[in-house]
Amino acid sequence: MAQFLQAAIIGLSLGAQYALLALGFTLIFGILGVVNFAHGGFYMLGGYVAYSCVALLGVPYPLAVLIAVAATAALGWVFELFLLERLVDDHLATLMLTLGLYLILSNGLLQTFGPLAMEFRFPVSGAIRLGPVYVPQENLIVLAICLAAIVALWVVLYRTDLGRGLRALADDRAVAMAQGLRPKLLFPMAFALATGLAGLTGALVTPILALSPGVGDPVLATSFLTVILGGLGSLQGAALAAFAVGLVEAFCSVYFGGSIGALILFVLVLLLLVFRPTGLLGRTVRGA
Amino acid sequence: MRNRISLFGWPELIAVLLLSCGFFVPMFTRSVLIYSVLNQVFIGVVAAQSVWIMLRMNLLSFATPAFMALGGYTVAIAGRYEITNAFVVTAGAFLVPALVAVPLGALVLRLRGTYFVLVTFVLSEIVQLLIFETPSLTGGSDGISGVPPVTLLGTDMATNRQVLQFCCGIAVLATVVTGGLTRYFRQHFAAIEENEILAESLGLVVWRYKALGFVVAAGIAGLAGFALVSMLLTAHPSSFAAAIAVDFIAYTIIGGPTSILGPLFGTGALVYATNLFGTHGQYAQGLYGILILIVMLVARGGIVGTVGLLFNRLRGARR
Amino acid sequence: MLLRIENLWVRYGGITALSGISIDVPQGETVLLVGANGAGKSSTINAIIGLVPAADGRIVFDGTDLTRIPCERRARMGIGYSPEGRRVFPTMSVTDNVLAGAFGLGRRRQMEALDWLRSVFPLLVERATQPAGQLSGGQQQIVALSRAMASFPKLLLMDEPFLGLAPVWIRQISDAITQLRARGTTVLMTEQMARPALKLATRGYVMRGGEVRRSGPVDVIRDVALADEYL
Repeated sequence: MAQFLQAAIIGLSLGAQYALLALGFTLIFGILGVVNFAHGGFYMLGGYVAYSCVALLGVPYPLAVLIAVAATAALGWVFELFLLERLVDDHLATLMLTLGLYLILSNGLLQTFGPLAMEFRFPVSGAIRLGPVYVPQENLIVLAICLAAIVALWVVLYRTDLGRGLRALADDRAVAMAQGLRPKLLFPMAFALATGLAGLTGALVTPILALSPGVGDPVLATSFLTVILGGLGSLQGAALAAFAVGLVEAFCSVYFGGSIGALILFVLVLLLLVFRPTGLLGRTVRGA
Repeated sequence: MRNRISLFGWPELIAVLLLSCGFFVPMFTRSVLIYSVLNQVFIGVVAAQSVWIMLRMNLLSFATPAFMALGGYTVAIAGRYEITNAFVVTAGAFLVPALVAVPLGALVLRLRGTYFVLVTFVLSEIVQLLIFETPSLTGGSDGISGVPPVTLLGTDMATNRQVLQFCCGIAVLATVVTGGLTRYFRQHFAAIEENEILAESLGLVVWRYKALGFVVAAGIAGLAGFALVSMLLTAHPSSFAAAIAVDFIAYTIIGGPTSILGPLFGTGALVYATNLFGTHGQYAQGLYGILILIVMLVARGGIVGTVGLLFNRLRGARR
Repeated sequence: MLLRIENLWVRYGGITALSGISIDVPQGETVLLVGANGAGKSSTINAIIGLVPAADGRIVFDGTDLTRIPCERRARMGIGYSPEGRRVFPTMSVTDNVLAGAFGLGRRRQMEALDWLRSVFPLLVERATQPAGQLSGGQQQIVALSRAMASFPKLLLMDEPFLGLAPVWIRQISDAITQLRARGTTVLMTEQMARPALKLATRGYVMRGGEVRRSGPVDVIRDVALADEYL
């Protein structure tokens, strides 16, 4: 029982991280129609920015996380506005642009920080007793912040003018423009919002997991997995699938060990594609 | 102009002739470095052609490492049973991935392009995990070392020179198959690339051609994996990591996706540049990233397209 | 003259959709473009709002030539647009659809618009939180009209507002247009169903094959507009 609860809490905490990543990925795809291959890169960058602030500049960790969010959002905004925006209707070209950015980001970080993992620790440690189980404090903190970020994102999207504009552009870009919505203003914001979320996740999670130039790849793979599972372009689907993926991973690693969990998930995704190609909560996939 | 050239297959002919030059390299040099670079080029060209076939239909495939692994491990496992006949293992390295691609293609290619990208990426991850989870068959994380060299007409392809010439042969073979396929179905592929929905409404069964391309691309990737294993005499999971798909995509896009010469020149230029810059290609990925951005933003034709454009402009200026 | 179209040409690829049409929309009037499918009505509307580029000619709105101005700025200059086939934002609630039409105008203007439109159309209150994609065609048309009016435009463009609607809804939408016009909005609408549309209009243009064939006050063109060859 204790083991079960432990796995459930780890799974939820993983799920919340995956949800932040997948929600950002889905925002970019849903609104811009762009597959963001650089998503793992922004996660990584968030981790390294936070690390640099803490280790090199002596900034307190919470402030370092905020700086990481600002830096990744700013880079996303600039990248969208000056590069992606020029080819935003060509899905293959935008994909290649984000791939190029990812290669530059990960190689740049490799050149700067070297191939070894960084000594980056979460400032809080120790465990809290929850009923029969002990849960690492840092996991709970990350879970709480991730959930808060998800709620904040929901408020932005469903309770503000900006969110209304973004959803309108995702639903029908041509008509939204004819109503006076400006993609040139809103697309960079959407991209920055999403990359900022990836940066936040990186800054929060890398001190617990690991921070090395390779950490972007599995993040990208998990984001893909999640959005396929949830149905491309569906925010609710992405969030739901993220928690499912987190729980499956946690339970598999507790009860089976090794990489079986990941393998099960991948095969699950393939099966899902056979029987329900639009994902769990997917709607019709937008053109291309 | 472009139509007439590709009708006669000039680019394919040039590609085959250029690659064939590899046979004669051992007459001029014994440099291990040159041999190593050329082997990388041959393997890269084959893998890039696998990407290129799908790109003809506006589909970006990240599945190349998966099918390379299937081809490479097929050869390595065959070696365990002392099956080393060059013709048999070449056929195996092509057919096993191609057959695996048949049901996968039927599954994946009914979906739209974006799903294809994501699914092929996931596929490469799956194959990687499968290798780790099946140590009795694939050696797991240790891989299979000591793969016996292939035998061609009774001779072991064991020396550096023989390995180079054999890889060269594989590259020529792959180019002939790729060129033949894309030339034979040129109009179908072009119609799909131009406007898939229109092609479908005109009666073209689009997913069938996509599936055919996917199957052949899988076989070609298998040949690349075979060439890689026969060069290293080892099949190791790290050789087929999902991330290397990016290299082959970079070769193709930077070389220029409009002609079969694109993957060839792209691979040649980038492998050369990688070896030029720093040791162990440590800057390679960053360089690829910058070049991809440049190609996408200012030179969509890649190396081949841009050179062609400059050539035409020069000729125009002279007239 | 609120809107003046002079010698407008529109081409899609090699196909000419509009061959040099000229249309005048006077302030405060309701102008109707009638004609069969492919007559060029939608192309005219799309060229005004900027969804298709003008190959040649001028579109002068409120004294400004629109042809070089991007689509999203035209809407903000005071043009409301209700597209053919309604095209509400399907996943967004009815209220959000209406508010999206007043994007960036500030909370006060948005609430003012919402209150006004809700007072005219009780439907907007009854279905406030329902995703617009789940509504019936007629209900969606009300939402699309409200969305177009939410920015208090000087000119309302309506592309085929009766398309695919049952007679009872055609009557309701006609009433709705009459109510919206009460604020003095100028209207340019297209319609294949000439009979109900002619009741609303003050002036009409009969189009065929990308050209204007006849124009004038509604009473003058009524018989022509109802002739078989244009329907």
